[in-house]
Amino acid sequence: MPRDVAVIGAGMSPFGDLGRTAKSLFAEAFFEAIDSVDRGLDPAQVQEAYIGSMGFGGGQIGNAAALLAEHARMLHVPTRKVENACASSGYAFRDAYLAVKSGAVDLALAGGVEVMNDVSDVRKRFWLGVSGDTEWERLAGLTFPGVYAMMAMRHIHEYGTTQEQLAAVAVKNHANGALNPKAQFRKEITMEKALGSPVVAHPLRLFDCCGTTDGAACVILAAKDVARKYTDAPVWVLGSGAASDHLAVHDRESMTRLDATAKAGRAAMREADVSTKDIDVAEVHDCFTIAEILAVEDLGFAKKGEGGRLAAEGITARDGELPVNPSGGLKAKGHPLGATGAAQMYEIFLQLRGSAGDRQVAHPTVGLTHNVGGSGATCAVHLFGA
Amino acid sequence: MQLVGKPQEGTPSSAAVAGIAAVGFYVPRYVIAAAEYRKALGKFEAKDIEEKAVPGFDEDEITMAVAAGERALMGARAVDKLVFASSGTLAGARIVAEALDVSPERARDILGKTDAGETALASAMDDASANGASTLVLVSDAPRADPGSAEEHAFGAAAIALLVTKEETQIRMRGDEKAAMLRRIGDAGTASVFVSSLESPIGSKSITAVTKALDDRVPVSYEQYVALRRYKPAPAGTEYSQGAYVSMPAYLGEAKARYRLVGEECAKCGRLHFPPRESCLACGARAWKERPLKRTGAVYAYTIIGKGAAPSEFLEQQLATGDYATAVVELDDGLRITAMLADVEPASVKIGMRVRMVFRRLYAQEGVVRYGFKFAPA
Repeated sequence: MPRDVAVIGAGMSPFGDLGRTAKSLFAEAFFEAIDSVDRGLDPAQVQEAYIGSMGFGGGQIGNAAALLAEHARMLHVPTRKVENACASSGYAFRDAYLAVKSGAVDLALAGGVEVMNDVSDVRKRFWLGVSGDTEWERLAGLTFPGVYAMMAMRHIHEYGTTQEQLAAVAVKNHANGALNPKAQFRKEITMEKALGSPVVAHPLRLFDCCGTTDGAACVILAAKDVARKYTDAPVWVLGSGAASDHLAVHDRESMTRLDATAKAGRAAMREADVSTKDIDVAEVHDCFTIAEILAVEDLGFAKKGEGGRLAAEGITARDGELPVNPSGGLKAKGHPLGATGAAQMYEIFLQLRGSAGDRQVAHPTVGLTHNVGGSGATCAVHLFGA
Repeated sequence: MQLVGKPQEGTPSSAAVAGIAAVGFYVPRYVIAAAEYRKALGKFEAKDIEEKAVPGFDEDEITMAVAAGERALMGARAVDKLVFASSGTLAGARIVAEALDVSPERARDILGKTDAGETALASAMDDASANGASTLVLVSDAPRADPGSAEEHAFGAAAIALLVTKEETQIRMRGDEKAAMLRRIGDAGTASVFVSSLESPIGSKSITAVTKALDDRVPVSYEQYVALRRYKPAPAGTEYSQGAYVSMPAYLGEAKARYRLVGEECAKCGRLHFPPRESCLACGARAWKERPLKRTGAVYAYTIIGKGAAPSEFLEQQLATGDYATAVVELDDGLRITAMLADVEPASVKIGMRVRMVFRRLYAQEGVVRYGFKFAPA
């Protein structure tokens, strides 16, 4: 019989350009997660560990999970790296969730880590371009910002979305990031600053793009009956949905829609038996400003083509009707690829427990995380309840 | 010099007749004036040359030969053989053959001599008259030398394609090394004599097109010239061979698609696919019929990759030629494909702009050049 699953602990390293190793960042996030378990947990009790990472930079491509586990006092725990580009730890969480839900294990770890700033600029660009269709997109000279730039261009072309609406996402998420002590960019920005920033990939400007980030995040999952042993305030996993899509955007029917998001979102909401109006707070995958607009549309928070209005009209502000990315999102908090999905869950864990500090949104009971791989070839959506 | 004519005097029988059935000519779109050399170097040591043709950064003898060959083969003629002639050392026959849909097994190179083109033509004529074989002779040259040297000053670029068949001669050509055209193209190595012959083609309509091609070129400075000709050494660290690596077997396994936009039609339900895939998106079948796609389309979406943002394979190109545009092109067959745009100012690209496929150098990795399609304004 499938069992209810709870998150009983969560931790996150600072995000930024940190000059630290993956081992060190992962251990920090992991031990913070362990320490957050109300009545304590011995790392050796973790029965399965799923660790999301791209292996950015190429330093430890093989067997990285074992190395991270041994440095986090999980020696001998069965572990593996889960890799779906920027959705790696969203999928690591899904795997851990399915393992606990199925009854195979009672306690599992889902986490992620990436170190992106310890390589040369040339190598950085190289690694940022390995998650699209290598043979047919990359070899046309396309970059990661470039592919989202083309989606933005189509959105502007088809729906009249404006540069100001794109910039409004950046302004909002920077305002949130300013309140997050672990965020990479803790500075508010103005609309003028966003619109005046240099073009990175036409029509996207610097402030339409997330940074390159080092960081790690971890969450600990437990089956319902054991969760009570560890905490009186579990955060329940209400639903998990995931989907994939054509890797190359040219193969997709539409360039203004991520079908993987729509399918994963519907599946998660079906399992949780909630609709969009039940959701109080969302952490969505805003690697670029256009990505947040696509996300709120494809998840069903806005009609297709109208996503640009949400940030511009304050609907997704921290005190708005539907706070989106109160952590600062990938945009301001930072986007260490393999850690991002788990970091979204860390934020929702804090928000639902009412312990998000200055950036706490008002009394949320249902939260959503939305984690996208690359330009939308993979997506994992999760719903959580207090 | 009489290159080709009616069969030579005394040719014994009509069975031995051979000649040129079609001619294709390609001159790159950039041009440098002698004055630019004088401005930059204080001298220009190539007598009689007023300006010369400059291949783009993504062009070489191979891509120029393909462009000339496409023109000679317009009307979808099939040929038995292909010869690639060049005074340089770049062996191109197999690549050019694949790009022009001639079996690479029936292609050969004649390289390294300034009369390579004449040798190729003579042997094709012999083959046609003796065996009835049709041969596409591609004479393509963009000679290189140390950019500081005097001999380099003369070097231009051009390609010419001659379709040799056993049929009664249609086109006669007469070369003249003092031809006006060479003063505008420069020394195009073994292609020079053929280029000059285009000035007095008998029975050919090509001369107007050739003159127009020379009039429509884009002028470049000496500094741009050095970059376009890849005379600047690539900065250290601009090439990596890990991560997004596409092996040559994987790459060439899809050469038909990459070189000449051949799609796949599902043998069961007829759904068209491009690039190739392993199972039909509509019905799941795994049997295909090859289907050459129309080589034209329109820009569906594009972006401009600015300085320093290019993937490392394209960094060298970007350092040499600046921003470039990459687009999703909607082909006239209805499919979409991502492609770099060529021969266009990135800022002038628009959604809906009509484009056509061109065959170009894409990038070099571990010393091996990858060729494939780009799209240029139609």
